[in-house]
Amino acid sequence: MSLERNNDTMAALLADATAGPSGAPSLWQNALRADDARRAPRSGSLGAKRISTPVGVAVIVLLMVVIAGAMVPALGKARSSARSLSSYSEPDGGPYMDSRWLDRSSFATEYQKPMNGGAPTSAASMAETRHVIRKLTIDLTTSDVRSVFAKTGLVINEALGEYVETSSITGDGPTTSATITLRVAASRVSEVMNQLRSLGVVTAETVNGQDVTDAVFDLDARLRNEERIERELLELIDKRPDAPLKDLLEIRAQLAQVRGQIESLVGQKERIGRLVSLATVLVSIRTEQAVVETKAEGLGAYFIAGIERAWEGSLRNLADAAAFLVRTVVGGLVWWVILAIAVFAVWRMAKRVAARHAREPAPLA
Amino acid sequence: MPEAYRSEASMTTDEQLLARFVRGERAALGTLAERHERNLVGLATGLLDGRVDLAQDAVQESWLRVIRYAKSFEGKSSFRTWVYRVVINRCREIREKGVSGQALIAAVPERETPLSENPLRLTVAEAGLSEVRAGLRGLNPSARLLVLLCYHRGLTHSEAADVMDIPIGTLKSRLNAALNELRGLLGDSDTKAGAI
Repeated sequence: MSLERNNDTMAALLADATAGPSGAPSLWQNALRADDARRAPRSGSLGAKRISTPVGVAVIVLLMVVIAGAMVPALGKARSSARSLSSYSEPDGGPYMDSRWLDRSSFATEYQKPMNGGAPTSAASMAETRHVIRKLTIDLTTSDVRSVFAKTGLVINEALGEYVETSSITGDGPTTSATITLRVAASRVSEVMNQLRSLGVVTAETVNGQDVTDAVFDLDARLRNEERIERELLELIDKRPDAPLKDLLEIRAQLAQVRGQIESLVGQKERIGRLVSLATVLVSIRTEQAVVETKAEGLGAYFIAGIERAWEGSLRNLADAAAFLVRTVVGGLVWWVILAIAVFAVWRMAKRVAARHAREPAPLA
Repeated sequence: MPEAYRSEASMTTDEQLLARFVRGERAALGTLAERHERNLVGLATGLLDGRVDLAQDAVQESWLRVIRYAKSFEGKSSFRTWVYRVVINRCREIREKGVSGQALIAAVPERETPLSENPLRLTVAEAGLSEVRAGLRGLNPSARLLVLLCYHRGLTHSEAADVMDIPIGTLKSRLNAALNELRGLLGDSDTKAGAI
């Protein structure tokens, strides 16, 4: 009995030890306020709603794609124009200053190159031995076609081997037009073009470069090979002076054949050399009155033509943008999938971390 | 609170209230607090040797945790089990902080001699609340938690077993052992006389 009473007393005391205070609960309100204070946007911020991590990552990626989409075409154009500009660079004694092609005696120097196929072994040597055939066109308008035509012929320097390849002038008065083809030293292309630009109003200008370096190296290699064969045949004749006549005649026939090959290859090299050393500049000259008359005829038509060009240009831009989007989405499909998997993994991990925090561990018993 | 509202609130389960809070109904958390906060503070007070201020801190921190992770509550256990575990773990953290431990000890009068050697051999019948608390301090933490949880007015033995994540049979056997140890510390002379 007393044991039961003692047990009851202890039970009552233990219950009292864990009895809570009277009064309305208020700690939950304090906790809510603390949480609100934590979530409240800091002063100076935009006060935007908190964005979940996966959504934020997706927005950032989308922004990067849009910015890249705007920049990539511009970068591509910059790269291509940088390439074309660099190909114009012709310092004195630069790669296009191939005066050795004008002197046959320098061929000996070429023949003595090591038999490595003639391929340059370093980037610097590649720049020095690059051979490019240049073709340029320039369209000029001027009020006096005949005068400009005459001045055009004077820009060449015959001492450097430059010359007027073709020239023609037709028409009279406002319909006069002329064309003239100049062969200009590769090292003087820039200078000549600048002089031509100063003669009239430039309405069009193009540059084309054909890299024939590989062809030249191939010719070199073949030449060296033929020369070696020729030397060996000559040595054979010298070593066997008492050889039968039949053998000697055969060797001589082969020698003649080899010599013919050598001459042919030398000829090809000379032709390429001339094309490389002398750039071709085609100048077209028209009177500018024709352009003015066109404008005077229909300003309205000109306006409409401008609108049409702008409309066509904007449609082309739209097509380019659509093409870029297709390239980005379809071409980068593998990367989009990888990105989606990564974002999903991050989201799942974040969710698991939150769930782990919510899963309060049982107190150790 | 109007009677109709009160009866409606009492019919709603804890989990439903939590879901409503997650959807933005802050009053639902108030209803949960009305049901559990008093008992939680009481349990925390018992675990923290009567320090009501520390117990309130622990319960407030626990509510904060509930608010933050309510969305992630998976419902694998009941809400009551979850919130009791949160409170118990927060109390353990407070005890383990060291500084708070010293404060806890200072709140209880130091005994000059160990209970077992006290010639007076206080009986359970004569032990006051402070003596019971002193006796509880003599138990190991697991036994102390078990005793307080099982005698806590807010939980049944089954619910206490859920909180501890142990079978109810294990809980009862451990509870008996803890109570015997507590009685020993409190010096139950009536029990010894009865045994003789």
